[in-house]
Amino acid sequence: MGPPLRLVSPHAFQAPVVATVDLGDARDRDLIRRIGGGDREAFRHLFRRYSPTALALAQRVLHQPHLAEETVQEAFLSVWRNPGGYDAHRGSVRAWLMSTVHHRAVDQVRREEAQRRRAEESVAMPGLPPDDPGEVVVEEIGLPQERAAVRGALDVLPGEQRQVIELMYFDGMSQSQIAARLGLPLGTVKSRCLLAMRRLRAALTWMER
Amino acid sequence: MINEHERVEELVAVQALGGSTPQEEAELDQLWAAHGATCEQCRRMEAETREVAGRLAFALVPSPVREGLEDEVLQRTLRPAGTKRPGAARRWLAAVAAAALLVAGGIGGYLFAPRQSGQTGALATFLAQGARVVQFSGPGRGVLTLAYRPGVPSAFVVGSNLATPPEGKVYELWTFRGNRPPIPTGTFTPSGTQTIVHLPTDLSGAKQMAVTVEKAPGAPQPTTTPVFVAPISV
Repeated sequence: MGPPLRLVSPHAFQAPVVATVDLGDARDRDLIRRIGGGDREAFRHLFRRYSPTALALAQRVLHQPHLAEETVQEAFLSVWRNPGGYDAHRGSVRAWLMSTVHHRAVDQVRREEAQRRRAEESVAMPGLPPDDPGEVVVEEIGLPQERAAVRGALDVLPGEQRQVIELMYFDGMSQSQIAARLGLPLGTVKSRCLLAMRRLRAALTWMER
Repeated sequence: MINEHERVEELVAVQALGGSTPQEEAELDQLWAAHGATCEQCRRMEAETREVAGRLAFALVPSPVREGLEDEVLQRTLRPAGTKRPGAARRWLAAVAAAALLVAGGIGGYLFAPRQSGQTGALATFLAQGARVVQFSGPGRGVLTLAYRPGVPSAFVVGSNLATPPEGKVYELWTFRGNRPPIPTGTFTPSGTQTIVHLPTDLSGAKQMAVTVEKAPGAPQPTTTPVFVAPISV
């Protein structure tokens, strides 16, 4: 994928709420359109493009690799069965797709009410540091610019805000649970979450306004 | 006291991040119906928030997808919704071998997790390059997995929750090639819950790998019954 070609969306009436206009997303929208017509090859392309990230996300939330794989399958199947669920006026295909995976994974965790036990019993899933040689190769298999943008946005967050985002998004914790975990007043957690999301929105969507 | 915009913003952020409680969900529904749906500011904020939340997944290092998964998903598109996959549980078990390795190697880990050793990075690279993965079986405690690439002088053995060998003993790896005696391929002692052993060995032509418990620093030939065995196909 080449460098994202960003266009500034006009502040015209009925302009998309979030206009994601890089070439990669244009291609994704075309894939979704073709999937709507029953094009399995388009579905295959979408799967190849995003399943590694989807799987990483599901594994991170669920801590159970086989459940993560099933969650990813179900999420992609939901795209196949209902591609009309994607609304181009409300954001990118990749964000929509990852949200689908994330919601399913979090639901799975909560439905089984075993989050704490799972976390305790599971093998730790450590990450790779940014300068780890392994990451360089892994990165080449997909969406390096998108990853750089998201990581860049997260990197500039104050550590205490990033921690709240991490616990909520990757561990499925509520604000109350985070407050208890960190020994903070609930209000502090709420304000950190809000401030973090404002910063992330500013970093990741400002060019598209 | 915060205004309605800000409260909607708070609740949307928490929901998009997956941290909403049922009470917060209900409050957001009410506020959205009364205010958000017709408020251009809130609509834009909501779309941006959901966009950002969805994209947070890209902070993760992507996980290698098991060979065959793509075809399985394609097959499932041919069946009506709600149809269970035949033999799904069996396939899950087959995936566990790869999964155990991925867990141990941290391929699905989060960027901001503590720094890992170079061994983990090397393993991640190796997996991303299309390594074959097979799980050992046997009476030994824990999970032991082998990753190898025929034609490449490199392989990894990854252990999880292995039993600690008796004092003065080590695990010893053996490679079986044809009818020749087993070849000593390295020794290791588990440290903590996870163990990653790199073997500078090309397993092309090998039929099997086994693990025995031997007196340190290792034996030239196995002296005990294998506690783990893994087939190798090249």
